[in-house]
Amino acid sequence: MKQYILKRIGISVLVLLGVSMLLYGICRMVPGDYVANMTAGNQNITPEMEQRMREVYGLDKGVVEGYVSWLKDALRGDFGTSFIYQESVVSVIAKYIGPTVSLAGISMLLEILLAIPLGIIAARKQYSRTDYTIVAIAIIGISLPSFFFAAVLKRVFAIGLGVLPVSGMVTARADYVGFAHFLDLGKHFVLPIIVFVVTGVGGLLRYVRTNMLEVLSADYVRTARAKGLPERKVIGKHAFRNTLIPVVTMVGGMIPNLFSGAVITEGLFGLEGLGNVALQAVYQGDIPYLMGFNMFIALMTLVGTLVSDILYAVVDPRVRYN
Amino acid sequence: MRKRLALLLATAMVVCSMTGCGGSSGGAENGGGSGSSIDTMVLGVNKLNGVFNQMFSTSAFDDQISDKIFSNVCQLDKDGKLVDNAGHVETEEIKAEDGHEQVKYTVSIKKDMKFSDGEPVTIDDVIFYYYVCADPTYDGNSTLSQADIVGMKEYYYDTKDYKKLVKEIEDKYSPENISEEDFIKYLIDTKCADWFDDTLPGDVGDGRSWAEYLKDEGYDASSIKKPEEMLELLAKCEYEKYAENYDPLSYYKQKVIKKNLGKGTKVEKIAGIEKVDDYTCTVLFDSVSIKGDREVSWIPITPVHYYGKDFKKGDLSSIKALNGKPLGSGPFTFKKYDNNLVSLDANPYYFEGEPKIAHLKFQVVNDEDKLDLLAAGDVDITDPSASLEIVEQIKDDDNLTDSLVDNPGYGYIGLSAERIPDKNVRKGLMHLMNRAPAVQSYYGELAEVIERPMTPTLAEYPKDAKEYYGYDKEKAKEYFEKAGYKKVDGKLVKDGKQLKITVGIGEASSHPSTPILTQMANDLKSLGGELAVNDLEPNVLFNKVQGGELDMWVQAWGNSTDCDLTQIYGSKGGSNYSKYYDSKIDDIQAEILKTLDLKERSKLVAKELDMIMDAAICMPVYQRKNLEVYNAMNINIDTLPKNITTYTNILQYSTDIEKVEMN
Repeated sequence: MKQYILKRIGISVLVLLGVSMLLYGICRMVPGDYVANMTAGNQNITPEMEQRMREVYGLDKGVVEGYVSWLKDALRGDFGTSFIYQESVVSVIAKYIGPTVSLAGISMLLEILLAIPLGIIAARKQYSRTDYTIVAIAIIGISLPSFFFAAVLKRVFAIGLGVLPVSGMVTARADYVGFAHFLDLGKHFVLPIIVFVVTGVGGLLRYVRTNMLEVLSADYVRTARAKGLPERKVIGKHAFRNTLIPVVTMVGGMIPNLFSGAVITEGLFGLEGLGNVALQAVYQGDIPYLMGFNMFIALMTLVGTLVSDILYAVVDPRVRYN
Repeated sequence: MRKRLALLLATAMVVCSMTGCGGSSGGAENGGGSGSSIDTMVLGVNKLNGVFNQMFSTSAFDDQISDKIFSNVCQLDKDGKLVDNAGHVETEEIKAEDGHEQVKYTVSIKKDMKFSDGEPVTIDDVIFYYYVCADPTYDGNSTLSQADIVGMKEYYYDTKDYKKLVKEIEDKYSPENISEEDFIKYLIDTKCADWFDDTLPGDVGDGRSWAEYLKDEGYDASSIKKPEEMLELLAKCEYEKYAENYDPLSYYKQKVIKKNLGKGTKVEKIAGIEKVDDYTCTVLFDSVSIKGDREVSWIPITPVHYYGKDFKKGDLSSIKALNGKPLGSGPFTFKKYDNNLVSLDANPYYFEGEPKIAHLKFQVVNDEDKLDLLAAGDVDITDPSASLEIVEQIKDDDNLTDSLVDNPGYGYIGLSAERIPDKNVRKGLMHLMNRAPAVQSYYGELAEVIERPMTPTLAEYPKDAKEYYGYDKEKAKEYFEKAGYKKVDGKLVKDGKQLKITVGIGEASSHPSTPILTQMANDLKSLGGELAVNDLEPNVLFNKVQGGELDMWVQAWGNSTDCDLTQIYGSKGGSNYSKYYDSKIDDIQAEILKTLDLKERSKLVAKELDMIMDAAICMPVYQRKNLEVYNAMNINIDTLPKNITTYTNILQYSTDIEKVEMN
């Protein structure tokens, strides 16, 4: 096992290197660099100033030269200074990671807590009213565009009933501190989380249901039932554990979503998180931030797959890595 | 089962629509404005970058906050004229020793002002700003380093005698004087001005390989195997046959000057900037410029005791480190920026008196939510994008009042003089642009058609200018014929080629100028030509405009604060995307920059704009309005500044904000 993990980490380093090359190439190929975007529409910028700024930002170098210098700095842990925020990339990520992880983390937890039991119930009562209702709701959730759903929720709960805020992270006028501040934050996260969960839960739910159906028709489930085991035990012990195997793989793959999955929802509710920041960086050509952020996501993706592979062995004793 | 589902959906829809209707009236109690006095004002702003220092700011929205924290020496009044604020600027024309005109600005600040930390404000805090913006590593938006201040070039390029240095470079590297060796070295270092692509056989650009190109020019490259050797031969060929097409002088200028920068600091002071006493300094310009007074006085006073502790020439990092923790002498003091909310407190030391509002907050909001947040009382002032629908909604809500002010910029359609070299063709195209119906249907009263390429918010704009090229298909036809185009088999052709124009537009589906292009395409088609409309992503469009890849393009200029158009229409302008070069325009632009009298200057500007119109390189389209909306439920509307204009709106500037009261 240890050897397997070490080998995987070794491969990951190589993958990261390849990813960084691709990313840098793509970032530099995007039309209109940061200086062009920043000076667009400004009538007083002289060509000399533009040239000087390109030098300051390292945009006058070629792609290869630029990549090598980025890599050298990155290996020493220096991911550069974000053009837009004029602050080191690491501290920008650290600053905005909180809201993103809380939003996506809570939502993912809720998704898992909802999807697994509902998926199992739907599978157990296949083609019943309950099954149809659950699947219908799941599909409605998948099909709902999040911006539309968000607008409806805002109309109903924020403007109509007035119980929840329209957008933002805190009540501007209030100046809450301590626990009241925490509650205020929570209140502002309710609608975004609902949007996130409702639009996201369907995929996992249907996955659980399909797997459960497959397992329920397996021989060992029939055997368990024939032995006279109570249904609770058949489902809970024999069927459920086997459903978990593919589900765990899927959940592992969701880890990077914790940091990047909320771009649209964040934007809709005026939350300042990594997704929203990354979107701006793409528009404005903030290469250091994009590189730092995307490398972080790439790293998380590799960690996610590694974790799910390890968990695979935990839930399925037959799996052994050598 | 199906029935139940249908019922559920129907109920959901009814609930949605019912609550939707009652929306604007229902949320009033959210605002906290239940009669008791409010001491916090909330402004709804667009996404912030957190750089609250105008020297380095990367977004106009960050500046909205900085402007409340810093006070400017002078600021703009409602007409965009420079007026005293925390200080005063005096202009004096003097003669230099050799007889040429110089201008001395005497900048003075009020005595007994204090920063929000209690430290006194002195002229050093103004001079500090000049030095930061003149720094060789400065990368912000200030153009001060380009100003013709005595000693600025010497400081910026860190050389004791800039003129002498330039002369030395010119003596050695100008086209007449440069040695063969230096020329070839330049060609090799720059890969023949970034032409050679380092590959073999490679591509000259027209399909020929490098060897083929050299063979056609009379050089034998058949035995060359390595790219480096090919480059050497290419350089030799270019030097011998096409030397006049290259510019080694600029290259060596850059190189020598850059080399000069690396070797420690030789010039510590800008000679033209002198401190007179604790509250006065003088700035000497080597030539007359209408921009000079703004360059030296429309600037934030920046505390040197706070920002300048570790400031050394060539290293601005210690100043940038404080971008997120601003300190100034403006009406408000920075408290914190977190959770997408900026909190400011009233500055008790503010020289105009402590503001009536104790706390000022800036909440980041989405444009679509702005009106809802106002109606709910969560936000007191904000600026939704002006559309006819929004204006209607504001009229319907008794609590909301608004002010519409002109945006300091304008939309235009540009034409490339490089890609459409024939002026008559350009004029023909201008006559095919039907602007009024397009602008009217998109903006209604929220925009007007303008006739000259300059924003009417500027005092110099010729208000009585008449339409230069009216929409007239017949005239267009005449011009095309004048240019030598004839209709053959239904096609408008010249030398066997059909008239084909490519135009770029960003997000055409929602662009006010789209109908102009649609009509133009139809008209041109009926005349036998073709207009290809490229709907592009804004970044891509701008990139293509810069790269000169389009015949025509639809764009807008923003944030104009003066009438200088040298960057856009001057021969050496960095934004001269039309690539139209006219020494007469250069001359009049130079004259405008030197004309301090507004009336005289306006006359010249009108003349310049007519020349630009006649060149048919830019069709001005619309001047749109910006909207600022106030919530009377929370703000005492009577205390807002009167006559809010482009240059005195509350969100962007701090003019008279200390007098605003809440209910």
